[in-house]
Amino acid sequence: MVAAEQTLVIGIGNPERQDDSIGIVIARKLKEWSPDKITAIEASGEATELIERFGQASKIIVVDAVCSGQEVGCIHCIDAIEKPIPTDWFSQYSTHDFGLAEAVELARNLGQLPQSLLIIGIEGMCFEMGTNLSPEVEDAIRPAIELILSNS
Amino acid sequence: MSHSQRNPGGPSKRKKITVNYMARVEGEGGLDIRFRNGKVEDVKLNIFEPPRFYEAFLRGRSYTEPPDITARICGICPIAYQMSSTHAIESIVGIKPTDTLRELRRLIYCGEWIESHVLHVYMLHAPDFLGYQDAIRMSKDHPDLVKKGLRLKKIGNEIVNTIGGREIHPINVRIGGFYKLPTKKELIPLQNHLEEALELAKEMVTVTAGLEFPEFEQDYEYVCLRHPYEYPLNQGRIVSNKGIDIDVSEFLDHFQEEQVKHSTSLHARIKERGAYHVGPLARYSLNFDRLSPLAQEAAQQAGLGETCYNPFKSIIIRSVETLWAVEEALRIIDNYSKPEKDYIEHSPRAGTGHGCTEAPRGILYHRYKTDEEGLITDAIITPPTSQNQKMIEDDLWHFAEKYTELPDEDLKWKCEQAVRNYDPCISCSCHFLKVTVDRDGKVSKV
Repeated sequence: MVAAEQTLVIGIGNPERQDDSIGIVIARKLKEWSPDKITAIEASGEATELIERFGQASKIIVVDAVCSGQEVGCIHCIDAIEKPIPTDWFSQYSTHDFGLAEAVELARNLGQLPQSLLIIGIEGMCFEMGTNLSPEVEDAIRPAIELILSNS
Repeated sequence: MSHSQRNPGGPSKRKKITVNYMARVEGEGGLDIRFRNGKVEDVKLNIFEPPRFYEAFLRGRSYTEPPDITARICGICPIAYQMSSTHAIESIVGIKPTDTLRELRRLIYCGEWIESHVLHVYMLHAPDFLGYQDAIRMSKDHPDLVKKGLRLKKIGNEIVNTIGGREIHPINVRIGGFYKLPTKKELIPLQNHLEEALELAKEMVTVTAGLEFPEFEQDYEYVCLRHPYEYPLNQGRIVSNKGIDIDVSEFLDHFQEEQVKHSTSLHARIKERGAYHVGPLARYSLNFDRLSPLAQEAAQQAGLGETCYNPFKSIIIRSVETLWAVEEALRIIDNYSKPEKDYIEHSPRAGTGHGCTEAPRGILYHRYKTDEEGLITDAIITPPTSQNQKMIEDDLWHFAEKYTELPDEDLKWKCEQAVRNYDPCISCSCHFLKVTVDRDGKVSKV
């Protein structure tokens, strides 16, 4: 369990799938800078792990890449406590399993959502094999971190 | 008999059911069922997940690499790939794991069985029986069921994580043993969780036994491993209820894979007879006597006999196997003490090696050829879903015919449920599913 005053930031993604790695990249930067009030971790996005993480802090921010067809690098901020998150924006963790959207909706039905859950989605473009971020996604890192800090 | 021969000629009143994209199966696939005058005319399980060419990637790689490369074929059963490949390569380099290393391999495999079976039973298959579109909708009415399922799956994940280094695509298995063995102390937390899992697994058997099952039995040829005293997991001869009893190295003499136009996955068949069935029903029906007394008792209380030919009851058998795997994991941890050596030394050797172990979905066969430098010159991987694919089509043929009067939507639901009996892992076999119903030429898709 994360200390009560801390916000748990969960960065999700696959580090080997270009823009899909943005959640991981942000989590790593936060771990490196270790700002007050933030505990950052990386996750693959597997639903059972996420649901378990939802029980580890009262205030959680999840960062993930999204593919909603909007402008690349665009930052979406969704209050998951207030409304369901769009299932087709986020990567389904795998064809075998459930992803972030399913994890949030399952946790909602099971009464296992934290008090505060903010989903920050960064619009990506390239999800092929590789470790480079698109320049627009790279440019979104700083504003996304500022958004995380202002909500922590 | 081929499907096209079943209704030769005849009038042209046609109907076709198509599931273009089937959910709650692993990988990309679709299903086409064509009716003519109320009779099934054709069934095709279309697999369009792109082929992944793993067998070709392996050529030219070192003999030490298959456990890590093939584990990447599947996110849900990487251990099966690690075990079959390890056994095949170890037979080439001439080493045999010590008893403790073998036990630890069984332990991590039990973790995978628990994880995979519980995911399928509670999250993928139970919604079919309870009338929900998916587990998320089911969780509104049955939150306790889903919570218990998630908890039990988590305990399976913990085993894989502890022994394998991480939950997904574990990294600790190597030819000859493990990179780093756990200490007894590291296994103790698992022990406490497995005690909890034992109760959860017993409940899983009771819950699944209370579901309603269609009256549907088939004269399957079951194929699985058989071991002198163990329930089949990582060792044994390949046997069937229709006369096969062979060493793993003879697999290709009796089974063959063939290409079919509508699928990127190869279809496997018994050379002399055709379709066969691998997985929990086969293991259970040919190895009931190898289950623990507790698992046998749970199965009997669930109303199962010593054999089972109703594929829908695979959900109960997966639960019985989960209970068995929990017990087995507890037994192994009880007896474990860390050996001195993490692995057995080996050096490259030219040769051919075969490995076959029981993945959660059925037997997984690997064959490798290596040269003097230990480089792989040839690889064959036959996953369980490509072995079951023809059987799934046969099941649907007989099953859809019983329900031709149902409205299309209900029929699609039933057919999807019938496919999920096999917990198909399409991404493995080619290395997701869509249903089309064509009733006398009137086509509907979901």
